[in-house]
Amino acid sequence: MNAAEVRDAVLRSLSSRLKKAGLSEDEIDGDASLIALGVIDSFSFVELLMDLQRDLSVEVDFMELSPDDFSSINGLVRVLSEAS
Amino acid sequence: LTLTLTGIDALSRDAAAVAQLLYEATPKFFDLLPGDRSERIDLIRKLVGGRGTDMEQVVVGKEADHVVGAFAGFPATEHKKRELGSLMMIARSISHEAWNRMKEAARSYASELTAVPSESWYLARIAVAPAARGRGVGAELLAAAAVSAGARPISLHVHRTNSGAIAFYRRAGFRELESTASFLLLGREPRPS
Repeated sequence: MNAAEVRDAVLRSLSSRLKKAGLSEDEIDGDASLIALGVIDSFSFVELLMDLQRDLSVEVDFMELSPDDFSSINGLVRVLSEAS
Repeated sequence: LTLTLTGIDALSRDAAAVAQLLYEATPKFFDLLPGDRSERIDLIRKLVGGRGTDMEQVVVGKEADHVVGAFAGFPATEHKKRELGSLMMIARSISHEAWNRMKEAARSYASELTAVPSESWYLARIAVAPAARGRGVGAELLAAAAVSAGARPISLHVHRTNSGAIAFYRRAGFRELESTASFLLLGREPRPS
C-alpha cells in the first residue's frame, strides 16, 4: 500500500473528528499532534491506531517509536506506510 | 536513614518490587486495570522503565538492598505524550475485551486530572513502602525529585481522600493550584539553592 492510500485511510478514520473540531483536511497542520490539537483524546487515539493497523493489515511496534513520531497526520501516514 | 537512589530499567530485578510499591500507593488508579492484583502488578511492571511511559524515568530508593521507595516524573510538556505511551503499553498487553471494559472508567479518571502547568516538572508517581514510613524516606525522595526538577516548579496530582499524602506535601511547601471532584493539583516553586 502506498503513502497516498494510507493517507486516505488515515483521513477517512479521522474525518468525523476533524469536522467536530472544526478543522478541514486542508487547513490542519499535518505535523501537529492530533491530541494537542484537541482532535482526539489519548484513549481514542490508541483505538484509532489499533483500527488502522487492522484495516491496513499492518503491524507497527509503536513502543519502539516516540508518540512525537506518530501523533500527527503526517507521522501516522509515515509509520503506517513504512510498515506496509 | 541511608538511602541509595538508583535508576531502573524494565529488566532490572527491582522492577517487580517497584511495581508492587507503586500499585499499593495508588490502588484507586491501578484497580482500573484488568485482572487480579498480581496481573495488575505485572502490567505496572511493564510500565516501569518502559519506553515512552509515564513511569519510564523512575528513581528507586533502596536501603540495604531493599526497595523502600520510588518516584517517577518528567517535564510537564511530556505529560500527554507519556499518558499516550502508557495507554499504548496497556492496550497491547491486554485483550481487546479487557480494554473495552476498562476504557470508560479510565477515561473518566483521566479527565479529572487537570492540565499541569507546562513550565513545571510533573511528579507522576511517588511511593514509600509501608514498613519504611515515618523515617523520612518520602522527604528524601522529594528532595531527589527537586533535583530532577531543577529550576522548574514541581507539580503533582493527589487524590482528595489521600489525606496523609496531602499533609506531607503541605508540610513540604506545596500549595493547591486547582481541584476537581476527586483530585487536587499541587505545586511548589523551586527552592533557592
